[in-house]
Amino acid sequence: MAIQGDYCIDAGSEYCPCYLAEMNCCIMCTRLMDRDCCDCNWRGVCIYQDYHFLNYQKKATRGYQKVEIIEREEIDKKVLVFTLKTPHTLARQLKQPGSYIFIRNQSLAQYFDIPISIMEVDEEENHVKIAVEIHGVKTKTIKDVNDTLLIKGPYWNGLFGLEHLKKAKDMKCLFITRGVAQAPAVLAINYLMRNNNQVDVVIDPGKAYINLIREYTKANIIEEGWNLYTPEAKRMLHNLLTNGDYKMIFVGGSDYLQQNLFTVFGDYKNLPLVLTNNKEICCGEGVCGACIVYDADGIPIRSCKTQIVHKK
Amino acid sequence: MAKIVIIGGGWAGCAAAITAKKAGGDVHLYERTDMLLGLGNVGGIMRNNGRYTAAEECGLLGAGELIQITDGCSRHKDLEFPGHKHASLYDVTIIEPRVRKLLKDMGIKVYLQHRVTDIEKEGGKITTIKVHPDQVIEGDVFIEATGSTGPMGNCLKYGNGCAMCVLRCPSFGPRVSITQKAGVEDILGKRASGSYGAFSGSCKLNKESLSEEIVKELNEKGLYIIPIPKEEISHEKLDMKVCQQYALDAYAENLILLDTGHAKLMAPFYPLDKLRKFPGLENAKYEDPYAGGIGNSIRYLSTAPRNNAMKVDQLENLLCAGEKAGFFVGHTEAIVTGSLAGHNSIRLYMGMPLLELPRSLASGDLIACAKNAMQEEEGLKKRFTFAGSDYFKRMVELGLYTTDTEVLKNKIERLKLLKIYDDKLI
Repeated sequence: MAIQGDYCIDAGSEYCPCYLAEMNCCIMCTRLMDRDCCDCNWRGVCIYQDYHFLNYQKKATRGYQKVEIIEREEIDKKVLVFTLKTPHTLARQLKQPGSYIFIRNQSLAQYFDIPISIMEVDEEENHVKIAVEIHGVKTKTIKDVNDTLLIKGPYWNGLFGLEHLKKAKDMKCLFITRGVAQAPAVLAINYLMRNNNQVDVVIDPGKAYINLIREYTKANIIEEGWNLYTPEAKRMLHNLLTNGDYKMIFVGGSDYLQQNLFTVFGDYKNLPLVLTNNKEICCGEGVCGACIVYDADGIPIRSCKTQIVHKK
Repeated sequence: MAKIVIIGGGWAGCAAAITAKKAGGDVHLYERTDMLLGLGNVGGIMRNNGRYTAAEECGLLGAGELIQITDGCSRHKDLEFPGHKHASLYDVTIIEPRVRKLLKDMGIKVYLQHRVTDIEKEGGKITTIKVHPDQVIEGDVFIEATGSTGPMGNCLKYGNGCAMCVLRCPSFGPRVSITQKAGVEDILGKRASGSYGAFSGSCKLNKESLSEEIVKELNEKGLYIIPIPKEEISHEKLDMKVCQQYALDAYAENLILLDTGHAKLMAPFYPLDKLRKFPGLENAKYEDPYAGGIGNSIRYLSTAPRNNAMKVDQLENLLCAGEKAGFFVGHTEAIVTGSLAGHNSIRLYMGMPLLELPRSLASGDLIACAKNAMQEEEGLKKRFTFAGSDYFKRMVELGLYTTDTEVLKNKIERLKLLKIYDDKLI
């Protein structure tokens, strides 16, 4: 399955133009890619114009801030849910589906930054909930943190296919989620339900044995104990897709799971897909290169900022 | 049936659609904004100087439909203003729906808010176009009439930034050069100074924002002239603008307003605070571009190499028209080139020899002169319009200029081209 991507999630935002414009590596603007012509696809105020207004400098980048942990729940041996108290603007900015932040144990250096999806936002209280699976080198460093976290954000490219989510109204949508990838699904489900969409969910609890969907949404849970890797689950999923009259599919799970399920989706070419972004995100600014994937022509795509479209 | 796909719904694209349809094509017109006519929604000047001849030629060749509409929408006819005779000014506020209706009634399929972003080709032949975001459209012959103005980065690079003109790039997305996508390099026009592009030559004031006296005069006579105080006169501005036919001292020394529904101010831009110092303009407000106080759109940034039958070089099934086809200025020029491209699209499909308009007609001569200019460094600084400047001089010298329709009719009859665009070829 080929991928392509030329839409920067930050384009036109308060963080655009960024370092990439200064380095002539902008994702959108050909003039800021060392090409002396206009050949972009951006519909909005011209990035080059904005850069010119800024005297050929980037806008201020996202900074770190220390936030208080209001609540810390161990919902499973390996899964923690933190409720953070953030400034109001940040809470508002994080309410969009696909939002993520970096979190870090403040006693450690920058390379311990962990990209974490936003699960729920309470704009009135300015509370932001995240679910963290304690899994590897970085996540282990916050296992025992219970007072404050260092965070950096907002970032928005946690989901691919955001335009489908934005457009969805009065639709029937199917969510397929596994493990802690339920967290970004929660934010997306609540967004869709506010726009009068019907959301059915199939949950594979994964290794974490958690059900965040039931806890944080009012979505219709069809199944909550499937193992999505089994042929049986795939058969049932196939039935669901054939008879369910769904207009959009969300898959929250690893790239391995997503690839695996494309065998099922193969027959559903025209259904818009929304997928979690599982790439190795490290700086979030398109600079470090950790998140780079390549399109069919071998062109690098910086997936921390670029919306990726899967072409079947 | 020949599927003719036209990209760009300005005057040139509309004219091409009409002649392609009349010649028997299944015509599909793609336009990125929500209106046809593009800059025709803010222009309005017809039939001045040699454009009269060209408009008559167009009708006699069989492509009179759009000229009939512009004549029918004229607020003023036979108007004289500095350097120009027998002009008509059509009302820009009423014309677009009429053209849209004409195309619809003719059975031309018009797709508004469909922005073409790319092409696919096999060898030298375009097979499909891509419409944003992911539609793929097949066609037999394609006509590019996307113009040469903008998008915003160009208006900044070569002008004063986006002035928010009627093309509305931020809302509908940027213009895409189809020829460039097909691997044919764009040719860019230059100014006398050597820099690329040129400013659109006029801006429009909201008529209601002007004094009663000016509005009355404009409505009755179509013209209002205010002398500019000596210390404010800038002849430099004349070099900036695309419309060399209005690059006369009279336009630097006077504010010239024409009534096209809006009050058309014959200057590329004019600072609002200075404008408001003129008597009667104390409350003046721009209608197009909205930021006419600081700048205007930049044009001539994307012209294609072509032959005199409007076929683009290196590509087997792509024709071009309007500003895409040369450094042309004006609606009449767009209609003339568009009509030829539309007719030739069917000839190309049928494998027939393509029609070239003879140089004994102003239309054919203009097309040929503009082609030659694109091939020379100095030519990149020239503009081509029947309405004035060097080309109108040439028309007069060669005896191509006439307002006598009978003379033209006899000539075109002799050339065996009378109503040739009316011929159904398929």
